Amino acid sequence: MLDVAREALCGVGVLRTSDPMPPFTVRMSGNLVFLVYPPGRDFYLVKVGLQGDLQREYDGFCAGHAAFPRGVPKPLALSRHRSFSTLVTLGIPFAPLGPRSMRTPSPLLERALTHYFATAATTFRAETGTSHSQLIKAAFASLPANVSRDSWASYVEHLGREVDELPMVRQHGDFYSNNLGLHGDALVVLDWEDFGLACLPGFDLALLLLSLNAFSPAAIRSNTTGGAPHSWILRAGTQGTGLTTDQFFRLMPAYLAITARNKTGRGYDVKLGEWVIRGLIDALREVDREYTVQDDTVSGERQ
Amino acid sequence: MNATPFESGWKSPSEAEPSLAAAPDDYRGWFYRVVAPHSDVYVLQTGVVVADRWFTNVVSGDPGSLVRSPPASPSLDMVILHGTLGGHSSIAEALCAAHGLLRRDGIVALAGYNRLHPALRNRAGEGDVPRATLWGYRVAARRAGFSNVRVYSAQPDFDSPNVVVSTDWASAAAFHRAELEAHAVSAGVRFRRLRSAMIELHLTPHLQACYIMVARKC
Repeated sequence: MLDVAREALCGVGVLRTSDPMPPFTVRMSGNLVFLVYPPGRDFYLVKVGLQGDLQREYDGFCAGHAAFPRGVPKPLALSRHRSFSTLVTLGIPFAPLGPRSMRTPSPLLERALTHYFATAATTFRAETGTSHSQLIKAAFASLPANVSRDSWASYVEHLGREVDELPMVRQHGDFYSNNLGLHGDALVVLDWEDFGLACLPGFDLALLLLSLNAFSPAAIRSNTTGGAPHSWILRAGTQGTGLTTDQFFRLMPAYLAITARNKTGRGYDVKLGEWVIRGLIDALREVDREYTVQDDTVSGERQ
Repeated sequence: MNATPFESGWKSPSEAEPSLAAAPDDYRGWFYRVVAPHSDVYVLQTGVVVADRWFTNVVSGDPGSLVRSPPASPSLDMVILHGTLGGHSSIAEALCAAHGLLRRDGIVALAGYNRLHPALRNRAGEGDVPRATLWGYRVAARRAGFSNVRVYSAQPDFDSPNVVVSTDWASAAAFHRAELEAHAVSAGVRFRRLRSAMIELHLTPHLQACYIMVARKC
């Protein structure tokens, strides 16, 4: 595999064919991710696809870099070496964002996050020919048997037309704090392999908040009320995406169902699937209560 | 490993890799596949069986027993000593035995502990596990007749590492700086300045718990 990475770097002109492999770090996450440090200031990411093609990720990097040239690594090539799909990007140095910085944000970080969501909402628009409600229904239908159809069918019905009026916006799809960083005043966004798998506005915002709150919708509610530690994220996200807070929370079960479908069998931790389903059941219960109150009010008004 | 192996007598690779679908979350031994030129190489593995899912042509056993009844000519492409001395009493002996079994340009990969790591200093019970300093691994490999010696730190351990870091300055400094920053923003770090100074002085690679040494037979 070192030869594969080295050949990919030769292919983009970083190394000559006679050059040895420079110092590197390599991570195994189903695919192999090399960070390679040739002499000089620049470093490079080389991803070797052991589990399949890297076209989606390359497309994600291209779209991301076009929209955020200072925050998304520049893709240099997608090629095939010795039967492996291989992706090369330029590296971006950044300061990582962990749970601590997400609880005590700087104004700079809030601006950067708002800018990301607002730019993505316009730049990543897509036409899919399928409606949000159809996609949400398909996501729920693919859930394991412990989420009964009865529990989600009325939710999907209630969402109805409201959700189909939202635009289709390709989402990053893996918008967790460990895939984010800051480089100067730019938000750095890494790992684009799930780009465009979800197109429901607010999905990335939901993933960020879910990952910071152990996939508990109730914890998100309490941590995003005025002055709570993650209220700034919700503020940045709703400002950027154009969703209202109510809309965002109503869509929470849909976000979780799409997450469950997208992450299953794609090399993610099995526990993630369990957390998502647990969160989904809680979110459905919460939204169901809301709809019951709404329905009672409507029928009361009719009487 | 600087890799123009096909020009120096390696047989050509097959297109097919061993399937990863059998145990999708079991990635033990993946780094050995990283440093090997392809999955068809003729491999001798010792210690815990980790190479089977990455290579198609693997035999298990100790270099010691093979040395006692050696093949007519050295024929192995790769010897993996995975956390074991393979029945020998020292790293030097184990590497010499591997050297005798490898064909020219063959690769040896040896995984072991850092003798200097504070948490491992008292684990004398694990007698067969290689234990040396970063420099100790390098020197032993050179003395056994290997060249292109590279030592990598395996994080968090050599059995199933998430990340393997070349101990050269550029990669090690970048990795440890990022780790320090990541810890600082998630859980906080004690002695941050000291740790940072150790990274910049290139001391951190010498204090990692587990190493994988890779070298080529001249």
